[in-house]
Amino acid sequence: MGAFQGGLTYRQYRVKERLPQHWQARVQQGLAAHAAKPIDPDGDEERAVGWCSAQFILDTHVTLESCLYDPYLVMAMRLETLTVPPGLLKMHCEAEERKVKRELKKEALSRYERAEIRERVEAALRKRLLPSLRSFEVVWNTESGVVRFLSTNKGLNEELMELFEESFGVVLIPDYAYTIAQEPALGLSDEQLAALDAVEPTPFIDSETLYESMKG
Amino acid sequence: MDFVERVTRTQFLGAEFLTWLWYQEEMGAGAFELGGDLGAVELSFEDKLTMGSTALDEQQDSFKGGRPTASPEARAALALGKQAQSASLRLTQGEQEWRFTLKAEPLMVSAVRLPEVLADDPKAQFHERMLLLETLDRLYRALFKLFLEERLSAEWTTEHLPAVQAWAARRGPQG
Repeated sequence: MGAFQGGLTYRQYRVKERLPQHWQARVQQGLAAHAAKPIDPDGDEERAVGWCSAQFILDTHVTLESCLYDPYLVMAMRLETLTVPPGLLKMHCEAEERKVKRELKKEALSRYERAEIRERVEAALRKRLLPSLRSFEVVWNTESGVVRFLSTNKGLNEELMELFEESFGVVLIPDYAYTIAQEPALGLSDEQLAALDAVEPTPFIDSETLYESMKG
Repeated sequence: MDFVERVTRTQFLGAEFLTWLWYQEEMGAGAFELGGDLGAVELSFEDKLTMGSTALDEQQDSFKGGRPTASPEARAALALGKQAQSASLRLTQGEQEWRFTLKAEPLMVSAVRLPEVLADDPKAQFHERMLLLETLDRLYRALFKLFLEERLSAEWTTEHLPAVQAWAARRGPQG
């Protein structure tokens, strides 16, 4: 499944503004500045997104030349997560609590002691875990301004919109019935667009049929 | 009303569009004339259909296998005021055929199967795939425009809607 082969599932966007004249330099700069970076296991970040190659997830040196399929740009948004699984954390916390209780010769630990143990154990486990990596292709037609993101996950789409704006300084407008209707290429008249702003849902069934159907 | 409100308030057009396509498929044997370089296309509903209505209740009906739009169960859901929320479709233009799922909210295509790609070179294959994808995009937008032209016209409530309601009221499939 993806831009290069197989079936395609994606969310479609349109770049709101026209690209500036020297957009190539801006895109190159944005790709470099927002390239995917590994999460620091010593920190507390659990999730990070950035650009990587559409062909190889570990290649984060994305150049304009490497992703240009004129007039398309093809790159990927990489999602890296480093989270200690809750079950694993619970087991190691319990082991540590037992050890501390033995050392302090205490029957029970206070809430603060347990919180401190949890923090320490989580930090230690993070250093032993490998992050999870996934990437999602982005295909940008720089002539038409259409961007296709090969994921329909709501959260990921929100992260893409944010990353896109931060990287390239342009806003993405997602496809909805309203935004499609507003596209100049669709060619609706001013009168039709005015009617669109006032349109209300209409039932595709008359009240008599609905009443009969509900009676069974 | 701000932009987000307009987008949210008009989301229902997706389900109305998909249900209108179903009506058009049955009444016109799936043939559409889109004009310009798009020309004539044929549309058919395939083996997956989901129906629902936020106005009536939260319950959705999912149909899989065979031809759900011809089933009495789907027709009964229609008669209860439910509309199509997603459907697997086949769109044919000349020798080329696209299979995809059309979803109502938000209005979008997914699970797209493109016509056969003929290019050998990987870069040319990519460009051909994108061209086919953009053709599908133009076709489905042109169909949406046909719907909007009826839906936003003064004749919607006097001519088109009564015809759609008469079709929805019939319990059995056409033909």
